[in-house]
Amino acid sequence: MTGATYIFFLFGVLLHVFGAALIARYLWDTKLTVLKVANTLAWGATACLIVALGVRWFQWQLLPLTGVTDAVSLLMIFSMGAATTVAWDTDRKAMLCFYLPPLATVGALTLLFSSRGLTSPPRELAGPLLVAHVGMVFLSMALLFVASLTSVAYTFQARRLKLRRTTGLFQKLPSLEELDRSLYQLIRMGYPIYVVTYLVGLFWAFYDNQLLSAAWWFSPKIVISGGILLFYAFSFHARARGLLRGPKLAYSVIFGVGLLLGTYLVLMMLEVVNYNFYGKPA
Amino acid sequence: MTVAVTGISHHTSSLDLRERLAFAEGSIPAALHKLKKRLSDGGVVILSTCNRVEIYTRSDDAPPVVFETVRRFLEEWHGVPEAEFADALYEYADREAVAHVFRVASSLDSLVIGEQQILGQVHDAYLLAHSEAATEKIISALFQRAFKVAKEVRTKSTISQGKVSVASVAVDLAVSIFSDLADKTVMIIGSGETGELALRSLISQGVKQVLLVNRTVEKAQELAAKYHGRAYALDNLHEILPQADIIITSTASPEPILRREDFHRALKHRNQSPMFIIDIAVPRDVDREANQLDNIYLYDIDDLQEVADSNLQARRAEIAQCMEIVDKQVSRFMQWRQQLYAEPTIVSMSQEWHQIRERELQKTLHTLNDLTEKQREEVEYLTKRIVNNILQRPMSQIKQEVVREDPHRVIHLVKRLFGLEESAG
Repeated sequence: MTGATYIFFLFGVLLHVFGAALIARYLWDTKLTVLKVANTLAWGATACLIVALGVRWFQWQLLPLTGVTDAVSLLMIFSMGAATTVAWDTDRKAMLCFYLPPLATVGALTLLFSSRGLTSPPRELAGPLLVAHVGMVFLSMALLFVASLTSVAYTFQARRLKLRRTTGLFQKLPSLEELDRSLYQLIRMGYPIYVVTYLVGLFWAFYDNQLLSAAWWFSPKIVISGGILLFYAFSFHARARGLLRGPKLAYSVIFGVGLLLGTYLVLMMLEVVNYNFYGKPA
Repeated sequence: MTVAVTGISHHTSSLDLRERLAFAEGSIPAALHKLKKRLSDGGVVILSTCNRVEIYTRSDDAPPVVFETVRRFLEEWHGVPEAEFADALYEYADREAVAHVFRVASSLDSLVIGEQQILGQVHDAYLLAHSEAATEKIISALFQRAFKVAKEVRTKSTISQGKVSVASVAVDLAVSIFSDLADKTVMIIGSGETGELALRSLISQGVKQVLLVNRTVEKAQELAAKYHGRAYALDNLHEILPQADIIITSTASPEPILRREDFHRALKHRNQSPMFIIDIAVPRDVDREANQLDNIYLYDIDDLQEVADSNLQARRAEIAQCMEIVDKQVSRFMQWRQQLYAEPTIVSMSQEWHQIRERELQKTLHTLNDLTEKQREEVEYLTKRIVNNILQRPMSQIKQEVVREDPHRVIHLVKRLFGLEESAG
């Protein structure tokens, strides 16, 4: 079973890497067919990752949500879903140039440094509230991650317009207005999910705080997540009111996602046991 | 069977000469009929645009005879002595002619490479010739193939991407900022030919709301009536500035009329919605500093020209790839055309063999009186199948040989081998 999990994860990552390599080819000759093949490969990769998670679930009879490899798989699956929705139309397919290579990089790094996580069983989450919390964390992260990649596309497009470099990929990407709209829609979905996720986490920590230390409300995860939430609250409402738009909004989304993913990864890697959700501190 | 092209273009001649040799639209049908009569079993298409005058012909005459006929025709029709256009004239036959037609239709021979107008012009020229019954099988096939090649070149390369005229570059840039121009407002400040050209292009892309600003309201009203817009005096400019998504300015003001602060204020009023400014005035109407603001995209006439030039350069870089497509299609067309040489001989061969079959079948059926009607039909069907099966291989072989070898020699050999009459084919 572990072997099957590993093979599916490996195939998932490799297909993503092949898809990303085709993006390089697309940037060379801008042939739509190449992009479509890359998209198909990325979907094949996503299917492999879903199967890998399914096998782990079947093998251990536990939801695979807690390890780095499982987390990355979920993030990649949700991100691919969000990315495909944005780049669904033919005239938006070039957006994949900004989505597929980062996803492939995340997958490849996980394969290189954390693939051992595939051999160990996932740790049990204490109650359905936590399962919902962790699942929603990855969904909101994926939406905000894709929003940040859309922001990169926006800044690329805006910068090229300012510099009068309007050939090549520039001609294949959607208009600034469309990119801004996609970016806003992704935040509009990602931000409320993140808020709900945070509230669910707080609710669980408040009622089940015997699993955490007495000062649970002062834990880095909760404090930093609260800070990020405030940051997104500002970005979201400023955009909704038309105060923050264009390159500034794009930069703030990139910064926010960097902070979110960075915090999550650092805390996860440091295994800050006092603040985890699995059960009693080790 | 000669396919030929005779013509002059922007590559070889001055506009003055092209004007003298151009065919007025109404005169083309008469010209087609006159030239067709002079060609042996021929077909003619005449393409006359501001950048080229070309006559495409298909005839049983040899290339030098066709070229001579067309030269005489041009001389007589336009009353221009041959000596005056002989140096500018190019003449292509067979493979070169086919390649030229494909290049022209694909806009690889155009003044502005990749422009799409030429395909429409070639299409119209062919349709006119076809409706006047001036075309025949090969010339029709040539043009149908040329349209397919043009489509393939357009879809498999980026030769038509990126506009190359200042007005169309402006529209392209507007489309890369705004997703839908239909709900956008265009403001024209001042009056000028390029500005109006850009406005017309924007209107053709769906822009409905136009604000016209001029130093004198009367002039603005005049333009507003023309473009169904609203007229304002220049004094109201700052007040209405936030309404505009796209601004085209071309006043004769010696000082900038719009500064960074004006756009800063306008953006606040517009909730930071982007603004695209095309400043085609010399000296410039908009302070360059404005471009430093987020969501402001300011292009002056030099910037637009720079974009147009880089688009043209990008198109030129695609030519080699497009020529590969053209070469491949030329080879296919030539192969198809070569195979046509064999068609009459193959038909004649098939007729000859079936005549033998029929003769021998009748002799045999006379001796077999006991056969029922159904049995007779079956025997006849059997003989047909045998003959068709025997013929299948030589027929396909002949088609291949006429492509590989000298078709006249191959046909001659086949005729001798099967005892066919020399007139066949």
